[in-house]
Amino acid sequence: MKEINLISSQKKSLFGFYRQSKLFKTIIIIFNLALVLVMGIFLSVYFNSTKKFKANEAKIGVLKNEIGKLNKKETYLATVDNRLKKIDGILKINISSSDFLTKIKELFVEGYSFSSLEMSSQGQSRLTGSCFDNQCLSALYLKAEEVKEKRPFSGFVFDSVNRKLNEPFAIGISLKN
Amino acid sequence: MENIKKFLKAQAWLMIVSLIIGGVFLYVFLPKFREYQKIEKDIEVQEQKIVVLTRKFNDLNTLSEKELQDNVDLSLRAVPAEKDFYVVVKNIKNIFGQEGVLLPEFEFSVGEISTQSAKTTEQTEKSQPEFFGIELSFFGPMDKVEKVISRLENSLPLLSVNSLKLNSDSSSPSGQLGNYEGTMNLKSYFALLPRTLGVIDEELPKINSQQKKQLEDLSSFEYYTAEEVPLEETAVGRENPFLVY
Repeated sequence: MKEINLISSQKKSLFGFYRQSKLFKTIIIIFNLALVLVMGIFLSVYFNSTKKFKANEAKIGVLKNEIGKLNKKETYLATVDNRLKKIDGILKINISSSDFLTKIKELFVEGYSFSSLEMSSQGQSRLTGSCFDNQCLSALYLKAEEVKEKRPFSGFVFDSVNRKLNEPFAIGISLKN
Repeated sequence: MENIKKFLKAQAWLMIVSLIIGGVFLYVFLPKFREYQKIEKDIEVQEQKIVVLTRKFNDLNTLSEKELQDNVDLSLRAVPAEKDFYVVVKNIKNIFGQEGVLLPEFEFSVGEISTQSAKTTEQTEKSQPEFFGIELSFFGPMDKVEKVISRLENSLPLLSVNSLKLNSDSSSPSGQLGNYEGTMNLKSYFALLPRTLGVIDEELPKINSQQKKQLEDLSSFEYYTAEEVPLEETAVGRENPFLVY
């Protein structure tokens, strides 16, 4: 009885071993197949990518070549763009002196005699002139008030008003464009 | 133990195949995979480049070479690439002469008259153009002086009045706007062209509607063009701008 029991347990372990080894073998085979499949798919994707890369390189080369033929137009356009930037810079910083003179002339009321104007590069100006009578002076004040309301100048100051006997009113005005 | 040995012997082919597959995976697949990732990134960059280049090519095809050339001429008249003081002198002289304002004296602070001397630093290249100064003394009626200033400011190459001094002439009859004598300091602009113009891989610069308007405005500005002088009268060189008539 004991012998019979012994054979049975050996067989049992042998069967167990074979079952495990078969399972292990199957896993390895499946794993290998999966790896081969993945690598196969990857290789096809990889070759497609390299093909695409080369095709793109060729396309870029052709486009560059075609653009190169139009290089004269590109140079012209770049030149215009470069100059326009400079022109824009100049026009932005420059204050039109003729416009400024036109604005100043608005102050010239009847009887007012314009003597001198000094305009600096910073847009600061000093205007001197004279009025022969009180009427002109009050008209100039009124005009100044009117001009100040319209705000064509960023600064407007009556610097001085003086008069000597038998001489007209001397008026100094400081302006900022 | 014997069973295991037997099993291993029986499955030797499987082991070898597995090792080969593993080796291929480690030494071929993984490096290729990294290479593939790089290629994919490069393809992305290439595709962006193709889009830019195609757009650039199409844009260039739609542009008229004649129109571009006219715009180049106009913009270079506005801001020349070199200190072209001859044109400025002639322009000033013409305007003052036509308006009847006397120009007894003028002085140019031109510096060296060569493109090489007009070197600009990178800073100025990017921001503001350079200029040379012109100091003028004049004499004339106020309205004419005003007209002269307006014409100067609307002439090419671009000029700006930096400072102005006007004094009424004591000898003229008293009145609001008699004759005036004065001095004027002008700036005449120029800017060197960059060493390279246009980069093949980059987009074309766009001229917007505001810039188009600016070009249109500039086309109405005055520009001195040398009259054609018969050869027998002047053998060589350009007209003398300092000639007193």
